[in-house]
Amino acid sequence: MQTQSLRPRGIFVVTAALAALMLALWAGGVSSAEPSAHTAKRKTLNLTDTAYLHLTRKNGNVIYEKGTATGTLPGTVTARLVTSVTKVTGTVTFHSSGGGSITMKAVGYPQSASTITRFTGSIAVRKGTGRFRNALGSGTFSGTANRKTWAITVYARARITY
Amino acid sequence: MHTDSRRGAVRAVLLALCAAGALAAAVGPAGAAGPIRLSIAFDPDAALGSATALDVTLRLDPRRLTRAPLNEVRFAYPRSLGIVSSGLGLAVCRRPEADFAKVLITGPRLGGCSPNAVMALGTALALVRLTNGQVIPEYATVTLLSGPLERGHLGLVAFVDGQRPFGAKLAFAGDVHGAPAPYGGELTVRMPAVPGLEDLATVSLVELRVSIGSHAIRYYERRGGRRVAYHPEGVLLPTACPAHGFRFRVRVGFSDGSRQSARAVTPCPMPVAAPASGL
Repeated sequence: MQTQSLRPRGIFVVTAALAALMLALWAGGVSSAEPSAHTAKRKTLNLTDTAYLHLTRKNGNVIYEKGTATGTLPGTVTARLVTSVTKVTGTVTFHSSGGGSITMKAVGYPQSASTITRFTGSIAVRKGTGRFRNALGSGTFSGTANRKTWAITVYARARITY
Repeated sequence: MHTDSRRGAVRAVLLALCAAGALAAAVGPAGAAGPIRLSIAFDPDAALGSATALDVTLRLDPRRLTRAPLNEVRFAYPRSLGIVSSGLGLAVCRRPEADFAKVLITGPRLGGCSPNAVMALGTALALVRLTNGQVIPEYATVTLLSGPLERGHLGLVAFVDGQRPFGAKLAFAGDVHGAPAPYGGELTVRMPAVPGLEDLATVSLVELRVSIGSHAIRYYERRGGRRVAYHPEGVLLPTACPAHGFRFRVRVGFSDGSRQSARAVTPCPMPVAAPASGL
């Protein structure tokens, strides 16, 4: 009597366990005891960096820059900036000396038209590589650009999760 | 004596008006059939990826246009042209509002503005029709300078310097703002009417030639304590040609509300040998 009453429950438990396992495999993409990228707790990086860039080349209204960054994420920086009359848009990539990179979309607005012009803008982090491959975030920046030499100093602040 | 000075002032106004009209026309159309024609040329040896002067020629046929004064010229240029990324307009020319649309009989060269603000040099030819029927051609030089950045627009200041026979000086305000594709920006120069002039004469701009990034432009910088002149880097061409060539557009407005426009397409120069460097 007791055996008969337990049999359906046992079948149910085994079925539920198999379903959960299959669901876990499907969701995680791998079996593993390690948590997937989706389920792992994301880290937060409050980035505060200063970048010093210099011109590498120009292509019409596009300028290419590279340089170094100091601060929370020290390393090298490359940028491709599209200039227009009243704003500059482009992508800026921080290559961390500790590994990985973060690529940001930037929109900047000049504050003057003189040789040394100040600018401010916003950044959006949408991708990265290495330890930052799932990076997301946003922030702001300000700085100065020498419009004769295109030497640029940027002070950036961003909150990034990865 | 008072009458002489008044005549002189009127002549100066006329001259300035002519020059203004010419400046406004700094942009133009391509079609040969229209009342306005625009042609654009790069340096003869320009190559993709290099810096060049941008020679803009605007011709207006006064027989096929209103006699109302020109009051606005808008010139749109291709998005891929490097005007902001050029070495032009490194200083800001600021003029008081009162200077615009009035005759500047006296004053220092460029109205006291820095030569490092000069972006374009050119000439203008206008026809001055006096009320007695006499038509006098007036020649002027035109200088376009970068102005302050205000309300999201880059300011422009245009000086028209009459050469002969009147010899007046005028200043006009303008700006550069974004333009929809395929254009990247549009230069606008506004020429408000000079009170009382319409009763004395009409001025018709016939031709305007402006060279943005002209090789005659000289900037100055300090090197080792000395003031050294140099030619600023001109308009930067991209390394690849846009589809259908470089497209330009000019739109002109007249004080009676009529408008005309024209377009020009400049074919690609030779392929680039090496990308342009910063300095």
